[in-house]
Amino acid sequence: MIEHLEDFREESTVAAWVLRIAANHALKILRRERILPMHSYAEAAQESFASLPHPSYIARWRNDPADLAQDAEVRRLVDEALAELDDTYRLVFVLRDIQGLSTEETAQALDLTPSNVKVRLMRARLQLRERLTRALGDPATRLIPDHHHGEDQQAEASR
Amino acid sequence: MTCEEMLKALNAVIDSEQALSLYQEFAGHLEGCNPCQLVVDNLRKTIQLYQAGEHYPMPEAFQNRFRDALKAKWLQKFPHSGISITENHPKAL
Repeated sequence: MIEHLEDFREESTVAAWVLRIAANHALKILRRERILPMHSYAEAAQESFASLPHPSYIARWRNDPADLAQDAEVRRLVDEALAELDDTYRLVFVLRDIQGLSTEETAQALDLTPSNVKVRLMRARLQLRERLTRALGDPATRLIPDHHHGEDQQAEASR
Repeated sequence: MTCEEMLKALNAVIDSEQALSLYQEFAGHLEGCNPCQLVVDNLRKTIQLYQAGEHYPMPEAFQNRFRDALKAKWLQKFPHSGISITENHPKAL
């Protein structure tokens, strides 16, 4: 960070700037160690919201997140679920939802367009929701999704 | 609004970054769709659970060395900025 202090242009918050440096540095190390592929996480093509995975297991959680976070078993599950995400989704989720960077700041840090950040974030959130709800949801409250709900009313309205 | 359209609009609603018109459409759909209500609730709780995770503080000795080095560099770069990085109040951060 000190090495890059000369580059700080006050276009973003200091916290976002520090996180961007840390993210870039971490990615560089992981690529050098060949833990991650050498290519950039920049998109090859524009991603879209089409074909988002539909939520399958839908149920009310048995406890509040604040209580769940105190449980060592749940923390292990949460870490595992995050580790299982594809790198391209995990990086966006960590920077946006855990570190609190904005869409634009995340896009800048990972060399993505803001639009792709949004798509990847949605995919990450949906995958994590599915995994955690299967473990933390109350089966007695499970609902079966109706993927065609709303289509009748929409067809009616367009007539 | 259909469940499919709601799925695509979820980010915007969860992050509260869209116009009121979308919220109205969204609320209209949610009112009659229990599965979507639960999906939104699940997603919010998923994010909250990750945000409630453990933080790993830096060792104190490292914090001190880091602060001193940053202070020296900051003053070198912005000698007249009037911003100081003091021991207990790292204003620049």
